[in-house]
Amino acid sequence: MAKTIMIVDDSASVRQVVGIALKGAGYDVLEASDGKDALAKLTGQKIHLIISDVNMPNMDGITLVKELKKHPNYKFTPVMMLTTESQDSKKAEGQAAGAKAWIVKPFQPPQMLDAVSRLVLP
Amino acid sequence: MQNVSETAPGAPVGGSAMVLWPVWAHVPVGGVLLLVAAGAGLEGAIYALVWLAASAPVAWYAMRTCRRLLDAAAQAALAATSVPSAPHVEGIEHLCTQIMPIWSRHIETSRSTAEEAIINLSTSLSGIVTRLEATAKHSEQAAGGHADGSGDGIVATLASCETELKAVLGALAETVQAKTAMLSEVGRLAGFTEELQKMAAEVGAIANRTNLLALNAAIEAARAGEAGRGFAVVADEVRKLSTLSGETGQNIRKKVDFIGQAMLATQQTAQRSAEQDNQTLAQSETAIHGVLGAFRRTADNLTQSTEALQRESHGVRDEVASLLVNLQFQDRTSQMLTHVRNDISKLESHISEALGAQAAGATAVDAGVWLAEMEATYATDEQRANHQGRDAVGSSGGVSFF
Repeated sequence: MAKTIMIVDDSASVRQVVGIALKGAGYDVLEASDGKDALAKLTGQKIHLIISDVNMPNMDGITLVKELKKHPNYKFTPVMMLTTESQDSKKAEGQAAGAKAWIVKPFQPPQMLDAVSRLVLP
Repeated sequence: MQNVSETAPGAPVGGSAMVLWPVWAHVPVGGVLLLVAAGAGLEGAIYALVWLAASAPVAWYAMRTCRRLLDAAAQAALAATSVPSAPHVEGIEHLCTQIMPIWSRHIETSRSTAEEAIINLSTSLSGIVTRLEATAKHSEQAAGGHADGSGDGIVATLASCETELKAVLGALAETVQAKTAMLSEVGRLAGFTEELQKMAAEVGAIANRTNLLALNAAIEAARAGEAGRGFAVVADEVRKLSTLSGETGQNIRKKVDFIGQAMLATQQTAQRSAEQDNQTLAQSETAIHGVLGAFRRTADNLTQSTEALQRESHGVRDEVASLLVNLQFQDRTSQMLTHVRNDISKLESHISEALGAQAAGATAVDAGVWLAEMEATYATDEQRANHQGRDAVGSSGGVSFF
């Protein structure tokens, strides 16, 4: 049974590129265009990992992580931030909110997939 | 700003010095005149006073001009060190409100065209990789299987064929062996016929001797006369019996001969048949090995092609991975262009408001504040580097675990 990973980013091209990398490694991929869309699509199915951008309209990534930590079904789902932001202050915010990792774009597929395999739920 | 900054700061001062000379001139001239008037009497004094009165307005005017020039110099000095307010291109605000929306639209069209193209490219790429991997897997299945014959694929089929053909060859060999065994049995039986012939001959010999004996017995019986009559009958019967046995013996011999010949013929046929079987067996073995060999060579070629295909597939996947890194540029370009567009809109709104506003002071722009607001919206190092006018250090792919 393939594991399911959700990718949240307002850029269609990023969702696609990440999707290609993940599907090539054998994962199933679910897409959302921002934090609000992501929460709407999480209807109880098992998600093994969430990869999220930080700067998005409607609901940004850090807020999404905070919301997920309060969600009864998804508070234990690991979240990995994938963003252009590299400032330490932003990273600290992400860590405080509960994110498990922070990858700066552009990402190298082997490194990203390695991080995914380390964090994804069994 | 030409009239202020291009002239040297000293020039207004020099200019004012020139304008002031009537004032300077008045002091000594006035003084001299007064002295002269003092010496020239009342007429002279009156001339001097008239001269002073006439020149006063001139002096006053010169002083005022001088002050104005000094003020301008002071302002110029101040302007050189602070934000210049001022002369602008006539009609620029109106132009901005017209052209900025157009710039915005150009930028957005560029951004979305590139985004669409990149998405299509990524989709094609993804399709290619998926099809290549499916082909490689299919090929692996076709060529695959295990050496014990389980599973599908050519290797498994080859292994099953080999097993079954070997079984067929085994069965053929067994048949040949059975025939050979039968042949030696027949040979053994043929040996018995000789003995039977000998026994038949003995029977014949015994019949002959019995006949002879009976003849002698008949002669003796005749010599004995009446007393020998009973004996002569017995002797007669014995002779008949011996003749019969002699015939029986002959019949046995004929039959045995017949059997003997039949057996010989059978033996010969069986021998030839065995030779043919051996030949057939040898030919079958050769043919089967030939077919299996050709089959194996084909299977090996297929396995090699499959392995090559797998290698290429992996190579393509690696290339795609590096392409994926480069395709991510679209996201950053998009972000930067969107920020620029937003800022153009913001400035355009501001100018539109300014054109409709009454108080000039309310629509001033503070560049420092504006730039700081823009900097706060940045999400990438490149934007910050561009803002600060330095080179951006490429930061990419760094992973931090919490």
